[in-house]
Amino acid sequence: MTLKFFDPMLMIGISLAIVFLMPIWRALGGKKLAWAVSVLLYAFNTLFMIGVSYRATLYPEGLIVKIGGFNPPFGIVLHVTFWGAVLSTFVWFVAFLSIMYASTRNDAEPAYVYYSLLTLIALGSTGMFLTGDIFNLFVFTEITALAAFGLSAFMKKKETAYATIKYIIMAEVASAFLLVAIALLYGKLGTLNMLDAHQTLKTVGMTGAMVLSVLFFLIGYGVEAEIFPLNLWAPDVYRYVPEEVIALFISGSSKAAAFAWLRMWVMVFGVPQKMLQVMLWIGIVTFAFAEVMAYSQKNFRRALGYASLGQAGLVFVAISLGSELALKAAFLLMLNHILSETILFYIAGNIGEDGAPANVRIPLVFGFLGAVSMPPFIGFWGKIFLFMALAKAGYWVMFVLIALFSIVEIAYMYKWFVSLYKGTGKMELVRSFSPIMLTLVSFAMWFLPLIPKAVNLLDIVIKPFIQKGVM
Amino acid sequence: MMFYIAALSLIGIGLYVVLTKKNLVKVLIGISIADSGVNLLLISVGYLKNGTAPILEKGLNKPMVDPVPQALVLTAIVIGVATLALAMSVVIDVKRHFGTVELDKVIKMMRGGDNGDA
Repeated sequence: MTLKFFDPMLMIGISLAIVFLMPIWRALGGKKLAWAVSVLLYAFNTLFMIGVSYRATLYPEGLIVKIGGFNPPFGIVLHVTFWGAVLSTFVWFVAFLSIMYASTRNDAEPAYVYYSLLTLIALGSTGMFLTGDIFNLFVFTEITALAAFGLSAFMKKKETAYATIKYIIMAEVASAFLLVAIALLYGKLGTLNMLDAHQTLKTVGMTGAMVLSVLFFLIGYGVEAEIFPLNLWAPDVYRYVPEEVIALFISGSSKAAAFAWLRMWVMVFGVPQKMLQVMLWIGIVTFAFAEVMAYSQKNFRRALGYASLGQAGLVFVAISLGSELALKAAFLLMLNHILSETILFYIAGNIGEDGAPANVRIPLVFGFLGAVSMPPFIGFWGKIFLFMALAKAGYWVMFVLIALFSIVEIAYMYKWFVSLYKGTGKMELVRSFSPIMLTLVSFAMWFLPLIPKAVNLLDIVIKPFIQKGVM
Repeated sequence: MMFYIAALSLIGIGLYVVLTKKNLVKVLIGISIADSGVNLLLISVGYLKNGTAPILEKGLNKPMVDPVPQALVLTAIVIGVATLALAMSVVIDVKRHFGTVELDKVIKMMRGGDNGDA
């Protein structure tokens, strides 16, 4: 078995095949078999994506995988970067945790559809992380969005129906904008390959149509990437939709949209300096709005939802800044957010009125420390890098604002932490989700701080984006 | 040029409907109109006057229209239909729970409802 085995197309193909055959699994072995097949698939995909990530480190500018034997720029290609591969790994890992969690649930019927949708949202996000073609990106975006709508409305409760319809309307209008953006881009550049588009753009320059295209891409991905004011659907969805789905929203669809924005903004458009200020302010406003709203929430799930929007704002600032340090910060913040919020949402699903059960004490501490970007966790370095990047670029006002609202974040997170921790031990787990699993994730976070020290690795992360003519 | 104007006005009408109407079914119709506008826009990007179908054959001396936007639109139409169907089913769900499809009434019911965290 050589490294060539780790072709991401193989994973996409296998996953799709297994989803399409889902009714057969169910007919053969009922809900149990459908579940078992999905678990095996997620475990396999997680390991497989680790292999792909390793393979991607050997290609500093990103590994190009041709699809269907056509040469780029005519054929669709996957452009596998280390960053995208790592995020995909985490998506499948979280999907694995989620389906473990979902096995304790018996109100999600029909279950095999539920598992199919879980697979599809993870698969769609993976596609968004890996693709190198703009229209392919759109298709994967829609796969992810459709799966997300389905999962969001799955419980057929009053609240989920209300939350989902808002989500669908916003996301659908956004997808219309996305198509217009693609039409503008294709009309001007005549190519849909990202790397090729960047080369062509250098000769065309940032004309009015291109500026419009950037703005429409922002609207198109802003809804899923939770950018203010396009994120107004999110608090309700985060409040009412099952935790395992939210974990996939955080690690999958929202991160994938942020990554898509990174691709378009940094890789294709090469960080247009004229629009930089606007983007940074949008990110800052997202962060500030979310933290202020989170502070005043009485419900833990809702507070977490707003906190998660705040993190999305920070990531957006880091990506939009687009410098070397800022991109490193974005990578670390993304990973930190995936791990810490996933833990906290799983815990939130497990607590009743009195507080957290005793056996999730360690994950609780780790989750909260991660959520407020404290050392020794990876998010701490992310935030430090972001501050350094802002200082280096001379944006002192934003530096102060982010610092200020980070304090707000720490304040309300501390409040929640104390109230949850005090209730510790009063009650049993509502759902019998293995706390061992949570502890494991927490320890994964514990080891991640080692990454910033491996500076080489971080350089590999950002290299495909920096080399394409940024700065 | 005609096509661009038509496409943009369709998108405009669709967005207007989405922004002003309270009825969820009407909102979805608006989205669907905007989608048609977008599809028309995509098609017109690749349009050539007097162009012929992009199929290679003998004795072809006319310019061909760009096939890529057509492929894109085909995909976009399918995706649009799928999302619309899903959105409709969620609207049915809303109707079942709230007894209405007027968005402002639904929001009022949610706010008034005793969930204590809004």
